[in-house]
Amino acid sequence: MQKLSKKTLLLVAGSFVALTVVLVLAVLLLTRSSSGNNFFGGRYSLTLPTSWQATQISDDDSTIAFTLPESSMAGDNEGFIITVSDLITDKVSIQAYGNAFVGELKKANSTVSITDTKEGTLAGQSAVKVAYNFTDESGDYKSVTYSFFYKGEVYTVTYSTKAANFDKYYADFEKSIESMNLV
Amino acid sequence: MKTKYAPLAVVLVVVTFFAVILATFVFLSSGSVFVADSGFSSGGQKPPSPPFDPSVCSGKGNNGACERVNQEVNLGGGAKCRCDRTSGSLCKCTPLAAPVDTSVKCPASPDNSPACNDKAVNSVQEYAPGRACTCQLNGSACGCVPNQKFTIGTRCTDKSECESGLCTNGVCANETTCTSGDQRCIGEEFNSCLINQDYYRCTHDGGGKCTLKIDTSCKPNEVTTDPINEEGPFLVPPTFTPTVNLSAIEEGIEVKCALGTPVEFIEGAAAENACGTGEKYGRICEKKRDKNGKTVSIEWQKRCIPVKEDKELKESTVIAIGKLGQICNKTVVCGDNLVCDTNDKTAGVPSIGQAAQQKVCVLPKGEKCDASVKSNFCIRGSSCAAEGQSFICK
Repeated sequence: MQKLSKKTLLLVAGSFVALTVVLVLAVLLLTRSSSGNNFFGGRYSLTLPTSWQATQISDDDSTIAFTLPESSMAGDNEGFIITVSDLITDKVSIQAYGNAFVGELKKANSTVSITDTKEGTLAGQSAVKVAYNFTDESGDYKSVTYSFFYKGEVYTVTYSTKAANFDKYYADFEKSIESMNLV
Repeated sequence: MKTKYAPLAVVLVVVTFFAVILATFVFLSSGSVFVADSGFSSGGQKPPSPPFDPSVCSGKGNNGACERVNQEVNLGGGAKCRCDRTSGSLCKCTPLAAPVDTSVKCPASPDNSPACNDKAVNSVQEYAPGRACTCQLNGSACGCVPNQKFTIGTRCTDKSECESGLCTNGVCANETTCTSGDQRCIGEEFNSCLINQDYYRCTHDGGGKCTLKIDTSCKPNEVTTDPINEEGPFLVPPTFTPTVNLSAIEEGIEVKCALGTPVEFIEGAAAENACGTGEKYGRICEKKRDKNGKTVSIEWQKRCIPVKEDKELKESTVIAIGKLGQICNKTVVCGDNLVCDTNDKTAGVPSIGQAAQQKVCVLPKGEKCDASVKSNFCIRGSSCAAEGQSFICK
């Protein structure tokens, strides 16, 4: 068997290491780009599903909508929206807020039908989840709203789509809010 | 001599290979999100460290065209705006002074758009309620070029108003959307099942006209039952345990009253005439913020407070103050200079879930509005229009 010189061996080893690093970096880049985009909205950050876009609704960052790309079947009333309002009292629990939310929801719209209510945590805060359906002139909608308090403000995260599209994008939405970090 | 390095090289290669694989695994794991094993979801509250490029606008605020800070966006008709950072990676497109030369006016001519007759070239005019255009000189006549583009299914008067460039029978259309025929099909895709009408399908005539026809392959909607006891909407019996420690975040803020103090109404003829229907003039303890949204003080503020009857407000708890465009009701009342009114959907502006709640905080007539924002949230029946150097809800 032919003997290899020290130089040749080091050259082969170096090439192998360099190739490995290049391959790993390529894999990293591909993985990162397909897992979503980091969105930072001032009060919070989250990982937005790839190709979803954020739209600032008002003149500050208190209301931000996250919608599907325009090329998709979904319209501009599908996706999820995060609103942040000032709490006026520190004497109300998030459960009481949830109760009030359900009450107001049912009073505001006779088509609303509550399908699920649950308590849990979101972004590390105690939160309430309310799932409901409603109908308007453009069809039947399926929605879920999470609410929690943080630093004297109430955060609501509402995911809403036409009933037929609800399951299609729900996993993306869930993944996104699981990545939500409060500042 | 030469071969004694061979094992060393092999070891080096193997160790490096596994080190890189291990580093990759650790790197990927550190950035991942996780799903809680109980409750509905989880997350963290540690300050994030996103790869935040200060020159990039990741939130598509205002006109949906800001990609980088200081980018100039052409709004059409000579009007431009500049992308300024608002907070985080969000940007706002601030209108730049339009090159309006009031000495050059569109001649009063039947060839001109009526909105531009005798108006300055490059001036912004309202050609229909809530719709603005810029008067552009084209040869000897003036045309009114819409400042916004509408999505498919929105009413239009000219193809220049539509993102798709197609205005068929008064509705922005594409080649696959119903634009006339049965009203319930307008804006729906050709041959789609009508979601709120089981067993109906929107068939079309080869053009944009659609007819609603019975089709049993369109499945009925899923029927859900309301699990909440009709005797009360409560998830759990209400509790009033303080959960938010406000003092910790209000250090350095001038506090003149206690948040949560009941609203006080002011009696008298002047106060009665100051507010519209469903509102009463009173004082409320709330946070006062500067133009950047930072809380500067907590103090009594006098304003119109939404209420149906005294009795109802006393019995209900006002929990939060809604901001522009946010949902409002008896527990979330609108902030300064805002009123709670039925949501008047603005084309192209996401209104996710708002239809369920019906009302949002909007600007009353006469209030300053931001013309650079897609939705100005002016009260129903008014729109954001120029008045002198500023824009107000008219």
